[in-house]
Amino acid sequence: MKLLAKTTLFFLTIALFVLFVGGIVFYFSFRYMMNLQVKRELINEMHQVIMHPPRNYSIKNDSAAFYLRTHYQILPIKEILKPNFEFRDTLWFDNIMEQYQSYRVLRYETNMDGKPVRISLSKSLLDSDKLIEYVTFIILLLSLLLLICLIAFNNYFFLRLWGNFFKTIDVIKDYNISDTKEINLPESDISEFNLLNQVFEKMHKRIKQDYQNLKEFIENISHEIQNPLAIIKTKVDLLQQNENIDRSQAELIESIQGNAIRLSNLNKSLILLAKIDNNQFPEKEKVDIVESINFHLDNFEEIIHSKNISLHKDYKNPIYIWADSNLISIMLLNLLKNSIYHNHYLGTIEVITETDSLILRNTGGKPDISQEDLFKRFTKSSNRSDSLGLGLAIVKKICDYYHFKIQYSYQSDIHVIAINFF
Amino acid sequence: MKILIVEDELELSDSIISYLESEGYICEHAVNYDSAIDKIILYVYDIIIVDLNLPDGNGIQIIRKLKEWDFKGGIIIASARDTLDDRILGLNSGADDYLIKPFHLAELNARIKSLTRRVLFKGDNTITMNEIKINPDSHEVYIHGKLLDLTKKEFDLLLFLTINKDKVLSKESIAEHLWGDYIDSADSFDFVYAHIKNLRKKLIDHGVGNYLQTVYGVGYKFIEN
Repeated sequence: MKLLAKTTLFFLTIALFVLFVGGIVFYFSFRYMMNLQVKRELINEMHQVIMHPPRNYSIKNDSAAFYLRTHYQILPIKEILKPNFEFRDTLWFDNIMEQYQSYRVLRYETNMDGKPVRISLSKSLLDSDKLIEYVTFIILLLSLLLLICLIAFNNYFFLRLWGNFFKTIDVIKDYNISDTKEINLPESDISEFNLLNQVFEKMHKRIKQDYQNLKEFIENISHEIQNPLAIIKTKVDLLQQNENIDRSQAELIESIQGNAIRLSNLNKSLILLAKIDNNQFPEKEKVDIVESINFHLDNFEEIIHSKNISLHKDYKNPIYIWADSNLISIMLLNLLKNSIYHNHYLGTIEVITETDSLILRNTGGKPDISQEDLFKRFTKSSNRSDSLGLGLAIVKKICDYYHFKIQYSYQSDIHVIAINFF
Repeated sequence: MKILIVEDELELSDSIISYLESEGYICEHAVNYDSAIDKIILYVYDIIIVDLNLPDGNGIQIIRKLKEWDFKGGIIIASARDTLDDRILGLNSGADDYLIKPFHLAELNARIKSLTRRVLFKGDNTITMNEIKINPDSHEVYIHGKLLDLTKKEFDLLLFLTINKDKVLSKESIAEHLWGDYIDSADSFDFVYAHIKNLRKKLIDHGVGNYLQTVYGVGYKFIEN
């Protein structure tokens, strides 16, 4: 959950809770006040009726008249049973409004002109009910307004306060260790964010230093390795010219030769991988994929023939990309070489170019490497100890470098490699 | 033909000299920038092989000096540096070829021969070995005057064998010569074998003597007799 959503939700919960409880308290206390007011008015008026009985009042059963906007009734009774003020609520049908209305009634039994009577004063609760209704409505409206404002302001302040934080996050997100550009973090007036920037800058410096050291180390070591390898290689070349070598010696020499070359290739491949990692191929030119494929296929022409592999080229569309031609060439070379080497006698190779992708389909045995491990360094078939296991790692690295999407699948003797260039 | 080798690794220069002397070249050796310049001033060389990293300077400086002094021979850079930038810098400063360490001596020999043809003997470039006549420019091979149809790789292989005739060539050096870098040696051996087989068959079919011999456990040898 996003921080904004979380804080908004938090605020909303609190606001709703406060508004709910506040509303209930407000409603009941307001009603209580209104009731109290009505009661006071009724008692007041009762005193007036007792002290100044209205003129021409008749003691009738159904007499009903208004006195001081209050509905009153004076009924004769046999004897005074309840000499106290007695309140009760009742519903009467209102002829004008044509509906039942609630009234608060104050009864009082007393002697009037020497006769016991029951005075009933009733006051419509319509006004106070309406008032409560309006007030409640307004309170609800205000609450809604408050909530909307709360959400709006929260959003606004969130973006304002956290703006620099998100800028920093963006910088970190695009952070590339091999980038030579200085990182630019936005200054903020919030000290926590400045602290974050400082910590990140410190970390960046340390990583950069480590990275630089590592890069130099790799470059130095790989160059230093080439010299002794060159010596071994040339010495073995000389040794092989010797005509007095017997078979077992020849085998030893061949083994030395093979392993020196393996070490040299390993070194070269690792340097290549390190260089791609170090972003040392910034130059781009227009590369014709079809032309490059054809070049490599020509290079392997005789081998394809010798394995009796049938080659189908289906160039539906030309593909041109902007990249380092050398890297693309290495990538295609490795892929095509694999499709030939891992193929079997009388197998097939299909090279298809679509508008933005290259598909390479070839026959071959089931790989004993899982698909996830296939592009990892130093994974190789168990029956090929002399292979470096770096070919596909290099391919993957180059694809990643140029953001190509590479997919591999194997189904019933067919290996399919698809590269999406765009 | 006189060759100067500028290389600070003594063991490496010893091997190079020993191989090239067996090819009939006269070799001299300079271990650093100063001694190389001294030798260049005092003697005349046909080909100079320069390492780029020298203890007291850079091979590029030597090449620039040579060009300044109007050096007529060929220059080959032999360096462990293999970036495109290094190659471009080297070739732009006036070198004729760029060989990346570690290399096979047969490869160095082939480069020297090719350079000799290109730079020193402009004109008739054909290489002749008994009944085989090779024209490296037109990529044509004639056996007893008759054109032999070879694929590009077979041609390259035959040229490489002829240039390094009477020398044992390992499968590795042949593979490297034919396909260059970034190819696992394991793959290339089968490829080399297939090529050798095809080439041998074509040569024998055209009545060429059995010059192409297999040296057990090592590789192949092209014998002139």
